[in-house]
Amino acid sequence: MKKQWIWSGIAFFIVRFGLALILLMAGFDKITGGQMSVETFSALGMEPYGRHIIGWCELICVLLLSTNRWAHFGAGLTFSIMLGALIAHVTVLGFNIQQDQGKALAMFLVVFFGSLWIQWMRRQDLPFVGESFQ
Amino acid sequence: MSKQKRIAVDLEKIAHLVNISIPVLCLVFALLGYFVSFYFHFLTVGFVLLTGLNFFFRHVQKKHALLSNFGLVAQLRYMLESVGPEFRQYLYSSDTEEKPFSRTERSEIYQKAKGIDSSSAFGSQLLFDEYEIKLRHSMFPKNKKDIPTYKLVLGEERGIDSAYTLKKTIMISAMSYGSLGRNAIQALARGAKRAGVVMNTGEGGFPKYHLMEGCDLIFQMGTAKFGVRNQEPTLNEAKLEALAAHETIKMIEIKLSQGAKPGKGGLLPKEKITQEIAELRGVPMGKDVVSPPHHEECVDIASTVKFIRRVQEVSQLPTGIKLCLGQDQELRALVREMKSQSVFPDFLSIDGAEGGTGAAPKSFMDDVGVPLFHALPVVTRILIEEGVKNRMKLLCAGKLINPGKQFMAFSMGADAVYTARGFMLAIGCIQALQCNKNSCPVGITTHVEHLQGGLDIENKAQRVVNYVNSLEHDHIEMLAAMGESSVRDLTFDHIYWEGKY
Repeated sequence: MKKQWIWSGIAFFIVRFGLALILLMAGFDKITGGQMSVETFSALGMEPYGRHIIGWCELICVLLLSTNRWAHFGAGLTFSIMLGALIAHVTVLGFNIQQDQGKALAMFLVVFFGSLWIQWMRRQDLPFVGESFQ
Repeated sequence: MSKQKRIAVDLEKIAHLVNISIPVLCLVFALLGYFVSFYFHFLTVGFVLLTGLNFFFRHVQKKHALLSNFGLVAQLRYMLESVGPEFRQYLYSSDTEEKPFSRTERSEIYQKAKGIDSSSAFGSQLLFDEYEIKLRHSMFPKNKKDIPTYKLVLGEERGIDSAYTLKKTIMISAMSYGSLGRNAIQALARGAKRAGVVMNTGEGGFPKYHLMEGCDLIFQMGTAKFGVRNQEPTLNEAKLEALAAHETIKMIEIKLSQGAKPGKGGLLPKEKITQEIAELRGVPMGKDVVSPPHHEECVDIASTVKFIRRVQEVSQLPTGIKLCLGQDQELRALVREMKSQSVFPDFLSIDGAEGGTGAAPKSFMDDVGVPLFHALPVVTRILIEEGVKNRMKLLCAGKLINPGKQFMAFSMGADAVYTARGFMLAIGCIQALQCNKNSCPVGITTHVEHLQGGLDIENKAQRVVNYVNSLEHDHIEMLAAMGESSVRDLTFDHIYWEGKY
């Protein structure tokens, strides 16, 4: 039982910082005006303000995910951003961006389900719904 | 007759409307996002989350019927309910109706602790026509200069070398490290040292933080005997002897019962037993520690008196007992057994059933034990009738936060009084009623570091000093008005209590 607890703790740590690293790169790319980000947000008609808003939100997610105490809030915000990304890909962008062989899609899926998993692991701490899991 | 139509708020219809509106709005924003501007999808995402939350409330969770039936709107009820205590305290409750202490009572303590004028004008806020206890003044008040300094020697009846002289009429009542946080204990202890009052350690084991500031202490031994116990909750004489040898530990108080939960032992859950608390209390980690409802050694009247003598002999300090009055005849039997064994505690502390910081089941807090102003006259009468009033000092506790209430206790036979919550208010307690939740917003009854951070030890220690000085000033004023020289001269004749005295 104890061993299982240790392994889930390690997995939680890895997923938290894995997501934080991905979001750090993505957020940094958006804020600094990386070519791919500019093209994406131009296609969405949100260049440059939308790009900056999402970029900064991603960096806030990085900060929250880096702390053990606020990780579930970081995961919640990440999940919301991913919902927006999902809408963007479904309605405007498609999933084969710049012929990247689905790399962006894979990254999206990792972050989407990773953030969901973190929230599930911390379900008792979530606002409004946490009490139902206690 | 036609049915009269009125404009009324139908919460059920509103809830129904909201439950339909959320997914509809979600769809509307999705369409706006697609056809007008992608920025609308910020709202789409928000409403997708709200739709999910509403679905969870209505169809997944089973704990709350209200959420199941009405969804998100019902959540407003819980949110409003959660801020209810604050709204009532700040806005809706009158100055005299809050419990356990009204705003008027608390304000007096805050003003005393801050060293500012606590007088009021245009008449009392209390219900003077109601059933109340009052103090009787004299037609011939005394000159304040003729009132000698207060002095009460505990242990003088036994003629022991370690007899302790109280120089103030009030003492800081039992609050352990555990019930209070580190900073609060240190602030009280530092203030006690400067003000010259004695402080009771509570039953928290070795009083590490109480000892830090060098004030005089009464070590309290509860039924679990934290700090002076064997593996089982029996007395470890060597530990007690070592503890009593500390220079600032002046007296020992054996707690037989307490006002918050008379007749019931406490529970220290294993989750709260840190390395430090395990060491201070002398208990193992990883196991719940249940305090027995009575001392292992005290199974009947005779063994209780024997245990008092044993502690007196081991500690060589003034030793008293603390109890909340239950059955009168049991106390009378205890006193008779003391006479028969010729063993008397150096002091008897009567705890009113009004409760305090100690967490307790509500039924015990509300309905078990005799309140102080009913218990104290009974105890005094028993001691007088048994002829032992002069063999021990009578101390008491129970909502005695202001000079008026303290004088009522003196008039009912008390020689000195304890207050815990008076001192808590002095160091900034706002009566948030969260003592048992480790979330005290002013950092007094919590161990959470960032909450304790707001409690400045030096600043609050000075408030303790101010509070003590102000009480002492008022005591002298009131003694003079009542025409007496000492609080020990006060009797039942100084009380007006309709139908009683």
